[in-house]
Amino acid sequence: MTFKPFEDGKPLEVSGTISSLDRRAFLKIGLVVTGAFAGGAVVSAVSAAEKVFPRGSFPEKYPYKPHYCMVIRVDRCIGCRRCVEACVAANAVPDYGWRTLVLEREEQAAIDQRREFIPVLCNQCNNPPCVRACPVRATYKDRKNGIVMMDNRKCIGCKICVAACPYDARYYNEEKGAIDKCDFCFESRLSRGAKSTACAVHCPADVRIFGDLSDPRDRVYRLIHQLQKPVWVLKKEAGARPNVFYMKG
Amino acid sequence: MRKRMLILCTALIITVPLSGAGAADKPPAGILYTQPLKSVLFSHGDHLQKGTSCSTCHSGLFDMEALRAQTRKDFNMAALYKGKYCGACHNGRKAFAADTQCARCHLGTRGRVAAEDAPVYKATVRLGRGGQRVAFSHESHRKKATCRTCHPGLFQPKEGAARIGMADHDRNKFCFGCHSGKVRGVFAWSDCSRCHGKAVPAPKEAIRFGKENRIVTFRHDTHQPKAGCQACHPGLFAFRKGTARIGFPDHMGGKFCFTCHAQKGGAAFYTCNGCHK
Amino acid sequence: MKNSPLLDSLKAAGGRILSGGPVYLSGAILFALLFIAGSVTGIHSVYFEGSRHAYGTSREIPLAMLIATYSFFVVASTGLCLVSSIGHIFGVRAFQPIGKRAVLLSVITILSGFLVIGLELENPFRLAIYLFASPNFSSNIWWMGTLYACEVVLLIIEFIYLMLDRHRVSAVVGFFGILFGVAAISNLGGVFATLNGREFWYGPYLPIFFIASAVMMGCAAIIFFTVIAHRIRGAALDGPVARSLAAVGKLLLLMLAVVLFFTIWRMVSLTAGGTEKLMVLDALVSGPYAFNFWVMEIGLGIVLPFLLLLGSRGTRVGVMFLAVSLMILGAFFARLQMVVAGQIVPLYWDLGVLEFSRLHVYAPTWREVMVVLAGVGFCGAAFLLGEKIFTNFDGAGAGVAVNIGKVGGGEKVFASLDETEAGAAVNGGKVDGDEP
Repeated sequence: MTFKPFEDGKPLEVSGTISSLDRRAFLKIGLVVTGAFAGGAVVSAVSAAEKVFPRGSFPEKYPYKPHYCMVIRVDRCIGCRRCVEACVAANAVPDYGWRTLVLEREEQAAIDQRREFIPVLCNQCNNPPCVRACPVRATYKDRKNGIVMMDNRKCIGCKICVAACPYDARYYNEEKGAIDKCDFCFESRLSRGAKSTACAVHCPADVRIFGDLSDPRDRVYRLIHQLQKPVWVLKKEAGARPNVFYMKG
Repeated sequence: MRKRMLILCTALIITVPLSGAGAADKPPAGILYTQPLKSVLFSHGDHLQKGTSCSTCHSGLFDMEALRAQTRKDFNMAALYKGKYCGACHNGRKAFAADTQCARCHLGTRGRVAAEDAPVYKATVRLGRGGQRVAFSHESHRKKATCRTCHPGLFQPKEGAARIGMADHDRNKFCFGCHSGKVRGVFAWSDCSRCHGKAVPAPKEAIRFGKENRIVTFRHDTHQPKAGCQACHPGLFAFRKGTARIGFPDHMGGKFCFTCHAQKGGAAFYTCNGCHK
Repeated sequence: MKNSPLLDSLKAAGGRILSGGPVYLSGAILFALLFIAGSVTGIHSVYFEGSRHAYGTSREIPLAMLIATYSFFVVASTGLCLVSSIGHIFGVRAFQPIGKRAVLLSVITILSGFLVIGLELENPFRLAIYLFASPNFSSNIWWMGTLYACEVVLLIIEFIYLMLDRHRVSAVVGFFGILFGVAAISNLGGVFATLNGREFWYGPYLPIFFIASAVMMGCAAIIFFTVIAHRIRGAALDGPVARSLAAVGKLLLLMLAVVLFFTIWRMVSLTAGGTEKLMVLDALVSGPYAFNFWVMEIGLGIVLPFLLLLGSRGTRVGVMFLAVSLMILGAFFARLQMVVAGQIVPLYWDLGVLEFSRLHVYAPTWREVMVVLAGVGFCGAAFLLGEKIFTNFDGAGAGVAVNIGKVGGGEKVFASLDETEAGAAVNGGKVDGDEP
């Protein structure tokens, strides 16, 4: 599973700060850090314990198959909130909670356009703080597709995951008796054969693009793996390595 | 008989077109489109500033009747890109292109429910009657707030529905949640002339303080010319009947009326009968 | 037919409780009632009303008063355990007389903490199952829960052996108890401190601070309860116990200074932080939490107790009692503030959006206060009952065995009359109406 880029015998003497020995040792503990896109934010940090792929195969960079992600093009969002309504309808989200929101920003100092809409949802992080914090593994990162899932039977309702999440993506659902959050419509749609999430399908302005990051032919792959238009993630400093990318243009 | 008919017809011929012309002179200041999705706010004011005239848009692009466009099936962005509706100018040449700066026109919903009750709003809304009336300007507020800021929470989108009394001014209701003096950049309601065009007359009725044999009947008209509203309101007295509790210690302590009616300077209150009749 | 010695001991204990006098009995009943009322309120809140309506917590502030109360109790518990270990594990003579009571109180406070957290969790019964069936070794809560559970067991064993005056065994058991305790309290700090998304909490500070705060609270708690205990027994506070309290008081002075130093640097480092830290700093120093911070946490919690303790010179028990009472009260509010202040800045503040343009607000509901009182009630009731059930707390330490008529293995625990105590009562002359 570990990705060893220097096995061809060319040690990293150029960097000067990290010796090749250190780099190999780092890789040995199984952390695969790939990709330099999205401002360094497209990173797959996967523990060596997750042996999903045989060594050497290309999708090794993105260890999930499919590696679901979402690209949100905020310059196209018009705040109609059809995505929010679709999410509520598809996933029975109660009125006191939300799985996705469209936030609104007014910048008085801006010229011409002063308003901006920013959709937010669970980022299905690659290094999820919620998964780390849950005492009983009621929330876990699915090994196949990378979605951060909930096992409602185990949840004790301590809400440490709600506190841990840097994106305010989780809430306690009284009807389920457990924490609820966006699961990329896995339970309601993907597991039943649908190819995309409710929010992405219902957006009239093609703002949300849902896809498989490990497939080079997928639209999200092409949107992210380019250097002309800026691609970023929210709260990169939290270190959660999210799978939801934002861009303009 | 004929003469009367002639006069009647002349009168009709003159007045009917005038009323029609009157309507045409005042387009609704804002039109909120909620179809095919929520929502886009069109402002006549913004567009008239650009040197356009009525016929720029209303000679084929848009009906005169507000919101007629959104009943059409082709009222969507694809049509705009082809030059229909707004796209006739918003093509990147005459004005910014329709496929840029989306949120400049699109208002969103501010939540899951949009205010669909008043898609067309008037530039000026009259609040109140007589000497105290206020002419509220939608346009001056539109820059700083959106429809949802006031509607439907604070005001029903219906002219004449709000009854705003003096007492509501310091209760943070209606306009006064923002115009309370506590919000930065927003003038306080105590600056009467900002809203009330004419000076607000004081209440004419007598105000009774106290009960039984201690009743004091206060008349504004003997006080206001001398002191002005600000002298007593809201510092000494709230704008609400019945809230002031004046006890005998207050007579000595210089509170309420006795800020002025003190021993030195004003007419002393030792002459009890002056107020307590 | 010989009566079972256990039954005899229980009857004797019951007799002592019932003969405690009106003040004692009404106190015990009051605390028991608080415990019952608070527990009923908590059960109703979680299972019938629903925590969304019943408690003041929300999606944005999910951890609040009950978590703070839990941390208050377990920090006190670990502190009591540590303070008692100074005496009978590490052999410092001056700390030995307060050792036994401290261990019992450590058990009681930890159980109070468990009670409060049990009434906060939505599904506590699942915890009992899945803590073992589905552990997550990266979770601080898992470690904390497991370690505290082990520590309670070890503490109880240690207490039993202490009361049997088997000091060797109790020292060994106690040593493991404090190991587990220190690990557990570090993980309690770690619950908050490992959340990178919460700038106010993240960092190595909280686990370390909790240890220092624990020793401080342990010292304060043992002084507090010892003074009350002696009032209950009507015994004078002199001799070895008084000297012990003076020693504990000195340690408390030191720990207050340490905690003050920690707090000062904590605040200073916030001034150089990012947006979130600056906003929390502003809220604490001059914003909505200013009273809580300056008056409760700093004033009542640190500065005033420090001055009072200095003035008491370790001998004026009344002043010491006042100092520790204030400190305990202040510490409760300090915990509440630490938990809540870390969540008041919206996570999306930096986006500049209208929905998250103000600090979040938390206000405890009366139900949460009732659950806190349940914990207090349990602690008070258990302490009062414990004072009558177990009677040879004082004067016993490592090597100073007060063995009154060893009847057999376990019954020794419930000694009926302690000569030393009776002697103390006669010599002291200060009788508050109650004979032990």
